[in-house]
Amino acid sequence: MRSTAPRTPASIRVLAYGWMAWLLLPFAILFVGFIMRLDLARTVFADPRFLSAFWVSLASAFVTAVVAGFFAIPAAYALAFGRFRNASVLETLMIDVPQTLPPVAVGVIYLYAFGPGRPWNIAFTFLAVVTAKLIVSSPFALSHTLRRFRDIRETKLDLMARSLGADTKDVLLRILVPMSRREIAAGLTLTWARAMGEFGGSLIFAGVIAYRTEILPTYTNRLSQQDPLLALTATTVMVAFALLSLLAVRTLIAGKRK
Amino acid sequence: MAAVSIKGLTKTYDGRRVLDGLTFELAPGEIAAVSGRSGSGKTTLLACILGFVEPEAGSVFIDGEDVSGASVRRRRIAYVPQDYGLFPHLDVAGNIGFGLAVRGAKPAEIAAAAGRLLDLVELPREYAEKDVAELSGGQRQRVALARALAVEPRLFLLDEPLSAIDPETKAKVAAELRALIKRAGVPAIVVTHDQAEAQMLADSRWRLESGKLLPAQ
Repeated sequence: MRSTAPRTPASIRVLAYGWMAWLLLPFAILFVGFIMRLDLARTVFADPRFLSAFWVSLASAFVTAVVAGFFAIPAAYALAFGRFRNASVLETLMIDVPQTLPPVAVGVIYLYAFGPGRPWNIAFTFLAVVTAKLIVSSPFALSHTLRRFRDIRETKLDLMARSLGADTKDVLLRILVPMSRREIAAGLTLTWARAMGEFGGSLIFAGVIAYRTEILPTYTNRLSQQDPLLALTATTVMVAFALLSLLAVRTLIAGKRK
Repeated sequence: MAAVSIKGLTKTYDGRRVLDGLTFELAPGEIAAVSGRSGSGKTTLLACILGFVEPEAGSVFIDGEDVSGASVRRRRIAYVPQDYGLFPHLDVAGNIGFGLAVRGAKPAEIAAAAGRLLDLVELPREYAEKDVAELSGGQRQRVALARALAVEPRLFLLDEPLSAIDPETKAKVAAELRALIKRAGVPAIVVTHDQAEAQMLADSRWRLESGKLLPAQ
């Protein structure tokens, strides 16, 4: 740390703290609203549709994370160690583009490709929920794993293993994955958290069918038009999960630095 | 017959010919030291022999077999890099037994081999379960050598093996290292920038200059 740092001018401090306050404002509103109307929490938690939406959200986000992990590890290996002519284009297509695609567009595309009248019609099913979540959330798993694989490649430990007789499967399972377990876990946690909050794609491709495809964000959306205070309570649950996953990722990364 | 024969090895980086038709032979059990200025191509030479880097021209023969097109794992060359290249997530026994584990050896066989190799490199058997991060530089080097010996290599490549050793103990470690390689009976190429180290370790000394290996003075 620099001990001779000059005092930050008041104008910069006002702008910085003002911006921080603006970003934290929704959390403050949520917290105060939840505390003031704790009785509403009971109403929400007693609603069987809420409980169903909660479980569908949890289960679909979990399946999404498992599928993302299953494909992200070989994909990261291919990008880190493979010889592609346009590796950076491929990486942009697999990591950046899915994250910037408007979720509504994802829903529309999938509905057109795998919707009613198509040979593989999976629209308005649990599978549709997972499919919509997968495209926007899997890039987290891939980018975290890929970054770590590239770091290991720099150390040449993969080549070291090969010189000792390891084949690609050994390099992956005995070197890359064990050495990257924290980053893979962090990437999967973020994938799961993003999948928990995904809304637009699921809304269009999976619809809002109670007890089947209704997830917490679509449940909250429906509720917000009927009773904003009840919606606020349901939102608290989503935000709590998001913060918990962020905390888990921070702990994983901090653990690595020790 | 030469244990190792390198013929016409050529490699260019950014328009500069780092290895220029390099030709070299190593007798069975011989230890050769290769020195050269920083950037003279010593690491490239090792990388080409190992198969980490593909040369533009030239061949590498080990025990008469042309391994030029062979994969890294098929060459059976034991490489001990400057930082020893130990796997940080495995303990000492896990590192030593790595080459056996990927060949399908049973845990009991790996444990027995690790014990035998710890004896050979003169480290206590209790070190088997130690974390490699807990070891000193010299101990890490011994573990790296034991790991390399486990796969019964045809050639040893050591990159700056004494660079992390204290100056006071360098002569002792060099003598031990030389004795160990001789005991294993495997020919070795040792890369070092230090002529004194080359003298302590090797039977023959070479310097890499303008992409060719010349006898050192």
